[in-house]
Amino acid sequence: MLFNTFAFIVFLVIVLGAYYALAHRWQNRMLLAVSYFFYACWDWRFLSLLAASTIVDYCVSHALYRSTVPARRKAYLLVSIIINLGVLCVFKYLGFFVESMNGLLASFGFGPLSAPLQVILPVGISFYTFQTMGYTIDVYRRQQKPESRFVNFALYVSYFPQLVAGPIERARNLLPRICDKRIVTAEQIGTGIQLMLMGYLKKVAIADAVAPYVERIFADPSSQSSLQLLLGLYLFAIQIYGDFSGYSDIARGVSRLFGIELMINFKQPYLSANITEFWRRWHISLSTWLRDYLYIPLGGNRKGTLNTYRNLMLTMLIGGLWHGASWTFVIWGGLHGVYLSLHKFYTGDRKVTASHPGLPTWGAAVRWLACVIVTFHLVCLTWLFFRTPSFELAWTYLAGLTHGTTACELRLLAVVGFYVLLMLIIDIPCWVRNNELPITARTPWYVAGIAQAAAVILLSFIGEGHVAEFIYFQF
Amino acid sequence: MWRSSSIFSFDTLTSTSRITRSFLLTLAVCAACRLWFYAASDHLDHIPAPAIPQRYIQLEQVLIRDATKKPKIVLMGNSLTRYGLLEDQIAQAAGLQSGEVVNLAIEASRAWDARVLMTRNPEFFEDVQIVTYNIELYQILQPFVDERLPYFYRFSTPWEKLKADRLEDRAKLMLDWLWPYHSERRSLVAWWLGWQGDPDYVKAAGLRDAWKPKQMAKKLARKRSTQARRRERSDEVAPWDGRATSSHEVAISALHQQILKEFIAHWQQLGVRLLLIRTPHSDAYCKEYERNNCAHRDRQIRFDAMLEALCDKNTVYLHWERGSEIGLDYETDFMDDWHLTPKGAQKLTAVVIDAVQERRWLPLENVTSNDLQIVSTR
Repeated sequence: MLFNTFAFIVFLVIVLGAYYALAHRWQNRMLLAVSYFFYACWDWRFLSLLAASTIVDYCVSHALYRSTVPARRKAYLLVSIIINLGVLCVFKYLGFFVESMNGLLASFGFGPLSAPLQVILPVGISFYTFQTMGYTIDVYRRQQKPESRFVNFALYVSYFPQLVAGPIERARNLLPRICDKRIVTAEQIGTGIQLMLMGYLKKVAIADAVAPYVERIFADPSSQSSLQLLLGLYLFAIQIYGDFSGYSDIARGVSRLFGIELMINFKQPYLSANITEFWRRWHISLSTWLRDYLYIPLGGNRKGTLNTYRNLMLTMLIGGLWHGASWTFVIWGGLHGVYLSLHKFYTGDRKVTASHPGLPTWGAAVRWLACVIVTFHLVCLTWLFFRTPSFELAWTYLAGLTHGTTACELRLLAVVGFYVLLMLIIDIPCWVRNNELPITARTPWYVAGIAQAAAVILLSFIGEGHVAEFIYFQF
Repeated sequence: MWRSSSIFSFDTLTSTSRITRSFLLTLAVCAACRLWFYAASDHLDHIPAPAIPQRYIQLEQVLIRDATKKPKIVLMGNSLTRYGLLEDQIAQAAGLQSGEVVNLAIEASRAWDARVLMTRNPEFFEDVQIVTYNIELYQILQPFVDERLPYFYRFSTPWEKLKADRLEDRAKLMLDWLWPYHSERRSLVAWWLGWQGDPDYVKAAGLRDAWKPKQMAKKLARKRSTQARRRERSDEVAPWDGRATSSHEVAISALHQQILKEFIAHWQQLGVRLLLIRTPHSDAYCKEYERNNCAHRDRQIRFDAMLEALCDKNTVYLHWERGSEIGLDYETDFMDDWHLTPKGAQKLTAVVIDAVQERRWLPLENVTSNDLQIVSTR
């Protein structure tokens, strides 16, 4: 069941109606049931995986908490990690591994290891696996008390607004909100609906609207001019941001209607002045997860400069692989690792602060703008590997970019201009006010009214008849 | 009453949402926008919508909106006209320039579509002196009308939509107009911004897709398999003994019959010469159809009689049953049982030209649109 379908809206209205009527304990039971129903709408066969992951981590976390023997605790943790990563590897990486091994063996003149495998990827597996692993690691570190009520824990793992594409919630954020009695205020409902509206606007009116142009350009890069290829990259940057941040906004908005606050996953990433800042604003739940459970345990920046670079590279390579079982994703992660290392080299031990409005002089503003443009283009270069399914196509695209041909459909320029403008209209007010929504309580009512109406009208104008899946569901 | 320990507590919502001024303004702006669409509905009706198969938009765009000349002869009807009558051949015979004879056939269409096309582009038809209209019985049969709404319903004005003969259709059309599930509204924006249309969007060559070599090869392959099936069946089935094998009565759509009459009357009032044509089908098909469906034959006879009754000195109804009546060869002249190959179309066009010349409709008189206005006033 996709967020951008009428069926979901009906489902949400029914669930909300029941939710507001029920007592807290029953609310959680109902939410758990509807979350499983929501997941079953994708593929009921993989409910068992979700349930198994929940049961394993529930049992392991309690065993971990009770045990005081370090070796035994490590063993428990290992059991959880092996089971979680094992399932993830089988469903997500086995086919890729077999394919890569076959290629390697073929290059040495050997026969294939096995026939290519076609394994169906259970939707959201990467997200809930990381979420449960994070919980178990927190319990192991004694940063989190295990949840005693199974229903609450199961709901933490499977809570439907964030089940299939995040945000990857931390137990210390989400579990208390699940366990505590909730109150939903009129303001929460208002901002929740506004968040949903913004999410739908990003997804339906922006990401889905630019998708056909992206599809056309990436399908045959050799027939496009350099300028069109560059515009194609811009459009994909808009598409993936609109798609994923739109999903996160809808998830947060829906969750807020239940009185459960989810973490912010995107903070206007394309307005970052450097790559480090970009990763503090892009897919925040994943980047902080990788930081806390991978980069810091590897040593972070505490074990010398070279080790810091190594840790950055490893973290980003694994982050790339998390996105998909393909070498192009590894390159994507690797490029980001290189960018981060270079930026670390440039900044040294200086603390990198997020850029924010109120730039003191025109000179500073121009410098900031130049940095934003450079960072955006560096990120766009990595999106090339993210979007293309093979190296051959990526190289063709790269080569085409360097040809320097400028023939361009005027319409494509207009499309890029229009959607960039639309994205900026949404993002700039959020960025200036450091707010999740472009409309705040201080916004004059007539501005808010017209902006909301414009969003609704735009949605119905630009929104396509067909329903497109969210890009991040494939991860 | 429910106690707090029971399943229901109703204590999650602390207060109901207030109706804020901004919310009211949002509603008002959305309503105003919708009202504006209502006021601009005629304007919207002139925007090609992507939901309509592209060839119909092409047709209107390429042949009507982009036309540099007003036509003297217009060929209207369905795909049998598109693949049966050649505008260039007629232009040559009539001593007209290219562009003065246009083929405005719409696949699987009926008089409604032709009429909407005329309503939407009145100036285009100002100089017309001869209209051919390809007429088929199916165009007024209720099952066919039920199967799909006429293509140009989507282009029609709300009042035209309200004229649909069934309540269900009226409801469907009005609902679609109020909240279209196709991209009509997006088209408006795209049209304003000048984004409408791909480079391939308006390619006149695409209007006769089925004559492209690849499509033609497919059609002919299908024809061969139909022939083979027919041969098998003819071994099994005894020849028709003249009795009805199907007495199933098919309802006639009163609305579409009425529209057909209105279409004919429209040209008659303008003094424009109207050639109603029922193009021949393949002999094998006619033989098979007659054998299996006697009721159809009766309906066809009644339909022919109705049309003949509508004819006057400026209106002629030409109809043939079988291709062999005008020398069409199934092997070389038919793509299937109904549509013709380029060679077959040349033959049929020649026959139509002869019929027109026989009635001394060609060469055309030097009539201007003003003269036509006088004729219509009279």
